Amino acid sequence: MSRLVFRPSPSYGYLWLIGVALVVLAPTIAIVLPGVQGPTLITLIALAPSVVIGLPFLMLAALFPTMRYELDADALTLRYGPVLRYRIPYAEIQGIQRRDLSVPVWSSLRLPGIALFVVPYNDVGPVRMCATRAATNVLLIRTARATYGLTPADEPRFLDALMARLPR
Amino acid sequence: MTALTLAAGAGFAAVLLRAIGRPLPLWLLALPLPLSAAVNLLVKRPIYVALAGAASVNVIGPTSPFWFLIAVWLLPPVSEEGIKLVTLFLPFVRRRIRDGESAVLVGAAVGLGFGLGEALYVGYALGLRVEFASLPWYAFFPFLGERLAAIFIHGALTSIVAVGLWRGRRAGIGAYLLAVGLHAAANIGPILAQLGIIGGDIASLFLFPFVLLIAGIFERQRRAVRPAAAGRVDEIYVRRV
Repeated sequence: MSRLVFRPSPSYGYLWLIGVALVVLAPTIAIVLPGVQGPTLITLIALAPSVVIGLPFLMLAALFPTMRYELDADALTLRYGPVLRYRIPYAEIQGIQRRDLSVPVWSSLRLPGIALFVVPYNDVGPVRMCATRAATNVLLIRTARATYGLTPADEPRFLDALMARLPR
Repeated sequence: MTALTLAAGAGFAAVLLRAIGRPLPLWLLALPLPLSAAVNLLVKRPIYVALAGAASVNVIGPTSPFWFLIAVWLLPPVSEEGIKLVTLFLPFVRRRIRDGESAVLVGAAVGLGFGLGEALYVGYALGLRVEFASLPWYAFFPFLGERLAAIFIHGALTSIVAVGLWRGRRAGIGAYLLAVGLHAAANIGPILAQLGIIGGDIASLFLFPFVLLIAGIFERQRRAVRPAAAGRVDEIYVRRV
């Protein structure tokens, strides 16, 4: 079977990633503004965590257009640039659900319009997410090892293509 | 910086409320905004002045009587949790507490609004202090972090009290006392700094273990009261074995 690539549902998740990055980086941006006196070593050490946390958010925002769901001969692969790659062999898929999820306060990388990496949910436990919605109408793919969450834009065509590849 | 803190805090509060449950009118966030200034000026300050007069001291310090230290430590938790509790008893607020989930949400909204008002009041009070006037604006970023943590603490604690009230009078009293205890525990850092036991620059660090503890209690309670069926489930494929 030929390789098919599906895009996720559109969302403004990248704006949230940029917003978080700017909030976290704000102290650092402040000290490099023109007219600000040079920061001390202690200030730089104190600001280091904001750079370490803020820059990855900016990088994730830049990678937002690379979110893909790829169906090849043996497996479904969820991709988000070079930072996320979940490969789900068709032979391991035990079930597929579309459902609303109950989100906990504990947030991993879950913002409005984007959910990446492992997100703990109240009702289904940890889910490996590569999706543009965090809680509503999420397609869950269950295997013995893990549960995966995705939100393809053209869901009917994606499901048709996936079901045609599942073992009978 | 106060305006930035308020904007960040309001955004945080709105996202948190939307993330933990069904939509809620945002006037519940605005309602408690003046309460922090009111409780500080009309309740805490007169009581503090009376206590200081009785203890014959002007400010809290290492030589202050022990009973005075305890009273000053407990004054903010008792009075602030008290005024938030009173807000929950307002008829048009209480009517909105129909089940456990709405109790969580209404309590969180009232507490978050109180926290936002407190950020405004504290920011205004800091702005009046001449010793800070020469500092650059970015020196106040720790204020932003500390206030965001405080806004969350207020929201979570009032939510705990609201759920207690929804469960009944005894549970309500227990929840109020728990909120006062957790609030007092979160205030340990500033009290130790005022006593000169720790530096003022690390006093805020004492806040964060209690933020995690309070978040844990809040989340556990939220799970306990949420409706059994959160949303729909469509089975699309189940492998037959």
